[in-house]
Amino acid sequence: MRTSLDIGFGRDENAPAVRQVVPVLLFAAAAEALGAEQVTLEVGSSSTVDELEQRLRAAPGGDALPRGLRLAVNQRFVAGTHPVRAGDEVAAIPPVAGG
Amino acid sequence: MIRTSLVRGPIDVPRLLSAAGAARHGAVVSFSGTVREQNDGRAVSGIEYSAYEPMAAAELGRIADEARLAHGADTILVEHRLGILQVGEVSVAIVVADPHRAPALRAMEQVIEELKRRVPIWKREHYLDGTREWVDPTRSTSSGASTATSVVESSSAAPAGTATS
Repeated sequence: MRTSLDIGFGRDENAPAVRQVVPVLLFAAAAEALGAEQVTLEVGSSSTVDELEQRLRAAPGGDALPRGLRLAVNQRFVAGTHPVRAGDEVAAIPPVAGG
Repeated sequence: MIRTSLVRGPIDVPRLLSAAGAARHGAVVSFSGTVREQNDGRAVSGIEYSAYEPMAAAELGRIADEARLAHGADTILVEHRLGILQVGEVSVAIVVADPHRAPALRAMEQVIEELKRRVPIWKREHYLDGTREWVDPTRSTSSGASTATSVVESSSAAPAGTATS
Protein backbone atom coordinates (compact mmCIF):
# COMPACT_ATOMS: atom_id res chain seq x y z
CA MET A 1 0.00 0.00 0.00
CA ARG A 2 1.34 3.42 -0.94
CA THR A 3 1.87 5.90 1.85
CA SER A 4 0.52 8.82 -0.13
CA LEU A 5 -1.27 9.42 -3.39
CA ASP A 6 -1.86 12.68 -5.21
CA ILE A 7 -5.30 12.93 -6.76
CA GLY A 8 -4.86 15.81 -9.13
CA PHE A 9 -8.28 15.89 -10.71
CA GLY A 10 -10.71 18.72 -10.24
CA ARG A 11 -8.05 21.26 -11.19
CA ASP A 12 -9.43 24.59 -12.33
CA GLU A 13 -7.61 26.27 -15.23
CA ASN A 14 -8.14 29.62 -13.57
CA ALA A 15 -6.95 28.43 -10.19
CA PRO A 16 -4.15 30.38 -8.53
CA ALA A 17 -0.63 29.30 -9.43
CA VAL A 18 0.00 28.08 -5.91
CA ARG A 19 -1.96 24.88 -5.35
CA GLN A 20 -4.08 24.81 -2.23
CA VAL A 21 -4.18 21.26 -0.98
CA VAL A 22 -5.30 19.26 2.03
CA PRO A 23 -4.15 15.85 3.18
CA VAL A 24 -6.94 13.29 3.53
CA LEU A 25 -5.95 10.53 5.94
CA LEU A 26 -7.44 7.15 5.05
CA PHE A 27 -8.13 4.42 7.57
CA ALA A 28 -9.10 0.76 7.62
CA ALA A 29 -11.47 -0.11 4.76
CA ALA A 30 -11.03 3.36 3.22
CA ALA A 31 -7.26 2.89 2.96
CA GLU A 32 -7.81 -0.53 1.46
CA ALA A 33 -10.28 0.82 -1.13
CA LEU A 34 -7.99 3.57 -2.43
CA GLY A 35 -4.75 1.63 -1.92
CA ALA A 36 -3.07 4.39 0.10
CA GLU A 37 -2.94 5.67 3.66
CA GLN A 38 -3.25 9.28 2.56
CA VAL A 39 -4.33 11.21 -0.51
CA THR A 40 -3.83 14.85 -1.34
CA LEU A 41 -6.75 16.83 -2.72
CA GLU A 42 -6.83 20.34 -4.12
CA VAL A 43 -9.25 22.70 -2.47
CA GLY A 44 -10.71 26.03 -3.53
CA SER A 45 -12.43 28.82 -1.64
CA SER A 46 -15.78 27.01 -1.76
CA SER A 47 -14.66 23.45 -0.99
CA THR A 48 -16.82 21.50 1.43
CA VAL A 49 -16.70 18.10 3.12
CA ASP A 50 -19.42 16.76 0.80
CA GLU A 51 -17.49 17.86 -2.27
CA LEU A 52 -14.30 16.18 -1.05
CA GLU A 53 -16.20 12.98 -0.38
CA GLN A 54 -17.60 13.02 -3.92
CA ARG A 55 -14.09 13.38 -5.32
CA LEU A 56 -12.81 10.52 -3.17
CA ARG A 57 -15.64 8.34 -4.47
CA ALA A 58 -14.77 9.30 -8.06
CA ALA A 59 -11.07 8.37 -7.59
CA PRO A 60 -9.77 4.95 -8.70
CA GLY A 61 -11.03 2.44 -6.12
CA GLY A 62 -13.53 4.99 -4.78
CA ASP A 63 -16.47 2.75 -5.61
CA ALA A 64 -15.21 0.36 -2.91
CA LEU A 65 -15.37 3.02 -0.15
CA PRO A 66 -17.85 2.04 2.56
CA ARG A 67 -21.30 3.59 2.25
CA GLY A 68 -21.23 4.73 5.86
CA LEU A 69 -18.03 6.75 5.38
CA ARG A 70 -17.80 9.98 7.42
CA LEU A 71 -15.26 12.75 7.05
CA ALA A 72 -13.63 14.48 9.99
CA VAL A 73 -11.97 17.88 9.80
CA ASN A 74 -9.26 18.66 12.32
CA GLN A 75 -10.18 15.56 14.32
CA ARG A 76 -13.88 16.28 14.67
CA PHE A 77 -16.90 14.98 12.82
CA VAL A 78 -18.55 17.84 10.94
CA ALA A 79 -21.58 18.38 8.70
CA GLY A 80 -21.26 17.87 4.95
CA THR A 81 -21.55 21.60 4.36
CA HIS A 82 -18.50 22.30 6.53
CA PRO A 83 -15.85 24.24 4.56
CA VAL A 84 -12.42 22.74 3.97
CA ARG A 85 -9.41 24.99 3.57
CA ALA A 86 -5.70 24.52 3.00
CA GLY A 87 -4.10 23.70 6.33
CA ASP A 88 -7.00 21.55 7.51
CA GLU A 89 -6.46 17.89 8.34
CA VAL A 90 -9.19 15.79 6.78
CA ALA A 91 -9.75 12.13 7.61
CA ALA A 92 -11.95 9.55 5.89
CA ILE A 93 -13.55 7.52 8.66
CA PRO A 94 -15.21 4.20 7.75
CA PRO A 95 -17.96 2.96 10.10
CA VAL A 96 -16.29 2.71 13.49
CA ALA A 97 -16.17 -0.56 15.40
CA GLY A 98 -14.58 0.15 18.76
CA GLY A 99 -15.58 -1.53 21.98
CA MET B 1 -11.70 12.40 38.00
CA ILE B 2 -11.65 11.59 34.31
CA ARG B 3 -8.96 9.47 32.70
CA THR B 4 -9.17 7.99 29.22
CA SER B 5 -6.48 6.29 27.20
CA LEU B 6 -5.56 4.07 24.29
CA VAL B 7 -3.25 1.25 25.36
CA ARG B 8 -1.17 -1.36 23.55
CA GLY B 9 -0.85 -3.92 26.32
CA PRO B 10 -3.34 -5.94 28.37
CA ILE B 11 -5.92 -3.95 30.33
CA ASP B 12 -5.73 -4.47 34.09
CA VAL B 13 -9.35 -4.17 35.22
CA PRO B 14 -8.68 -4.67 38.98
CA ARG B 15 -6.15 -1.84 38.82
CA LEU B 16 -8.78 0.41 37.18
CA LEU B 17 -11.32 -0.49 39.86
CA SER B 18 -8.79 0.31 42.51
CA ALA B 19 -7.93 3.62 40.83
CA ALA B 20 -11.63 4.53 40.83
CA GLY B 21 -11.49 4.57 44.61
CA ALA B 22 -14.26 2.21 45.66
CA ALA B 23 -13.86 3.24 49.28
CA ARG B 24 -14.93 6.79 48.57
CA HIS B 25 -17.89 5.76 46.42
CA GLY B 26 -21.06 3.86 47.16
CA ALA B 27 -21.38 2.75 43.55
CA VAL B 28 -18.75 1.41 41.20
CA VAL B 29 -19.93 0.27 37.76
CA SER B 30 -17.56 -1.69 35.54
CA PHE B 31 -17.89 -2.73 31.91
CA SER B 32 -15.44 -4.97 30.08
CA GLY B 33 -15.72 -5.63 26.37
CA THR B 34 -14.04 -8.87 25.37
CA VAL B 35 -13.16 -10.57 22.10
CA ARG B 36 -15.90 -13.06 21.36
CA GLU B 37 -15.07 -16.44 19.86
CA GLN B 38 -17.82 -16.21 17.25
CA ASN B 39 -19.18 -13.27 15.32
CA ASP B 40 -21.93 -13.49 12.74
CA GLY B 41 -21.63 -17.26 12.82
CA ARG B 42 -17.93 -17.36 11.96
CA ALA B 43 -15.21 -18.71 14.25
CA VAL B 44 -12.90 -15.87 15.23
CA SER B 45 -9.25 -16.49 16.15
CA GLY B 46 -8.44 -12.90 17.06
CA ILE B 47 -9.16 -9.25 16.38
CA GLU B 48 -6.87 -6.51 15.21
CA TYR B 49 -7.82 -3.06 16.54
CA SER B 50 -6.50 0.10 14.89
CA ALA B 51 -7.36 3.76 15.35
CA TYR B 52 -6.98 7.31 14.12
CA GLU B 53 -5.14 7.75 17.36
CA PRO B 54 -5.15 11.51 18.04
CA MET B 55 -8.86 11.81 17.21
CA ALA B 56 -9.77 8.60 19.06
CA ALA B 57 -7.98 9.85 22.18
CA ALA B 58 -9.70 13.25 21.87
CA GLU B 59 -13.16 11.70 21.33
CA LEU B 60 -12.75 9.39 24.33
CA GLY B 61 -11.95 12.40 26.48
CA ARG B 62 -14.87 14.41 25.10
CA ILE B 63 -17.28 11.49 25.64
CA ALA B 64 -16.21 11.09 29.26
CA ASP B 65 -16.53 14.85 29.83
CA GLU B 66 -20.02 14.91 28.31
CA ALA B 67 -21.20 11.91 30.36
CA ARG B 68 -19.86 13.44 33.54
CA LEU B 69 -21.58 16.74 32.78
CA ALA B 70 -24.87 15.07 31.80
CA HIS B 71 -25.14 12.76 34.81
CA GLY B 72 -22.84 14.24 37.39
CA ALA B 73 -20.85 11.04 37.81
CA ASP B 74 -17.76 11.61 39.91
CA THR B 75 -15.17 9.34 38.30
CA ILE B 76 -14.95 7.95 34.75
CA LEU B 77 -12.03 5.81 33.63
CA VAL B 78 -11.78 4.39 30.11
CA GLU B 79 -9.07 2.25 28.52
CA HIS B 80 -9.32 0.96 24.96
CA ARG B 81 -6.74 -1.48 23.69
CA LEU B 82 -5.20 -1.43 20.19
CA GLY B 83 -3.24 -4.12 18.35
CA ILE B 84 -3.93 -7.82 17.98
CA LEU B 85 -6.09 -9.43 20.68
CA GLN B 86 -6.90 -13.07 21.26
CA VAL B 87 -10.33 -14.48 21.99
CA GLY B 88 -11.36 -13.67 25.57
CA GLU B 89 -9.03 -10.71 26.02
CA VAL B 90 -10.41 -7.37 27.19
CA SER B 91 -10.60 -4.79 24.38
CA VAL B 92 -12.21 -2.00 26.37
CA ALA B 93 -12.74 -1.35 30.07
CA ILE B 94 -14.86 1.42 31.55
CA VAL B 95 -15.21 2.14 35.25
CA VAL B 96 -17.64 4.75 36.55
CA ALA B 97 -17.77 5.57 40.25
CA ASP B 98 -20.01 7.86 42.22
CA PRO B 99 -21.47 8.09 45.71
CA HIS B 100 -24.80 6.97 44.19
CA ARG B 101 -25.70 4.31 41.66
CA ALA B 102 -28.05 6.25 39.36
CA PRO B 103 -25.49 8.71 37.96
CA ALA B 104 -22.92 5.92 37.68
CA LEU B 105 -25.21 3.57 35.75
CA ARG B 106 -26.47 6.31 33.42
CA ALA B 107 -23.02 7.68 32.72
CA MET B 108 -21.76 4.16 31.97
CA GLU B 109 -24.44 3.58 29.36
CA GLN B 110 -23.76 6.92 27.70
CA VAL B 111 -20.00 6.31 27.56
CA ILE B 112 -20.18 2.87 25.94
CA GLU B 113 -22.91 3.88 23.47
CA GLU B 114 -21.08 7.03 22.38
CA LEU B 115 -17.79 5.14 22.19
CA LYS B 116 -19.33 2.69 19.75
CA ARG B 117 -20.91 5.48 17.75
CA ARG B 118 -18.07 7.94 17.27
CA VAL B 119 -14.60 6.91 18.42
CA PRO B 120 -12.52 6.24 15.28
CA ILE B 121 -11.39 2.72 16.11
CA TRP B 122 -11.70 -0.18 13.68
CA LYS B 123 -11.40 -3.89 14.05
CA ARG B 124 -10.41 -6.51 11.56
CA GLU B 125 -11.50 -9.97 12.52
CA HIS B 126 -9.18 -12.87 11.81
CA TYR B 127 -11.10 -16.08 11.24
CA LEU B 128 -10.00 -19.63 11.92
CA ASP B 129 -10.12 -20.33 8.17
CA GLY B 130 -7.29 -17.80 7.65
CA THR B 131 -9.37 -15.00 6.14
CA ARG B 132 -9.80 -11.57 7.69
CA GLU B 133 -12.31 -8.79 7.31
CA TRP B 134 -12.99 -5.25 8.52
CA VAL B 135 -16.04 -5.18 10.76
CA ASP B 136 -18.69 -2.75 9.51
CA PRO B 137 -21.47 -2.44 12.11
CA THR B 138 -23.65 -0.53 9.63
CA ARG B 139 -23.75 -3.55 7.34
CA SER B 140 -24.94 -6.40 9.53
CA THR B 141 -25.62 -9.56 7.60
CA SER B 142 -27.88 -11.03 10.28
CA SER B 143 -27.45 -14.78 10.32
CA GLY B 144 -29.96 -15.94 12.86
CA ALA B 145 -29.31 -13.23 15.40
CA SER B 146 -32.42 -11.81 16.97
CA THR B 147 -31.52 -8.16 16.53
CA ALA B 148 -29.12 -6.13 14.42
CA THR B 149 -27.46 -4.96 17.60
CA SER B 150 -26.54 -8.42 18.72
CA VAL B 151 -24.91 -9.11 15.36
CA VAL B 152 -22.54 -6.18 15.63
CA GLU B 153 -22.01 -6.23 19.37
CA SER B 154 -18.60 -7.65 20.06
CA SER B 155 -18.50 -6.92 23.73
CA SER B 156 -20.10 -8.57 26.67
CA ALA B 157 -21.13 -6.82 29.80
CA ALA B 158 -19.35 -7.90 32.95
CA PRO B 159 -20.98 -6.11 35.85
CA ALA B 160 -18.48 -6.09 38.67
CA GLY B 161 -19.82 -3.27 40.68
CA THR B 162 -21.18 -2.74 44.10
CA ALA B 163 -24.17 -0.55 44.56
CA THR B 164 -24.87 0.10 48.14
CA SER B 165 -26.25 3.58 47.83
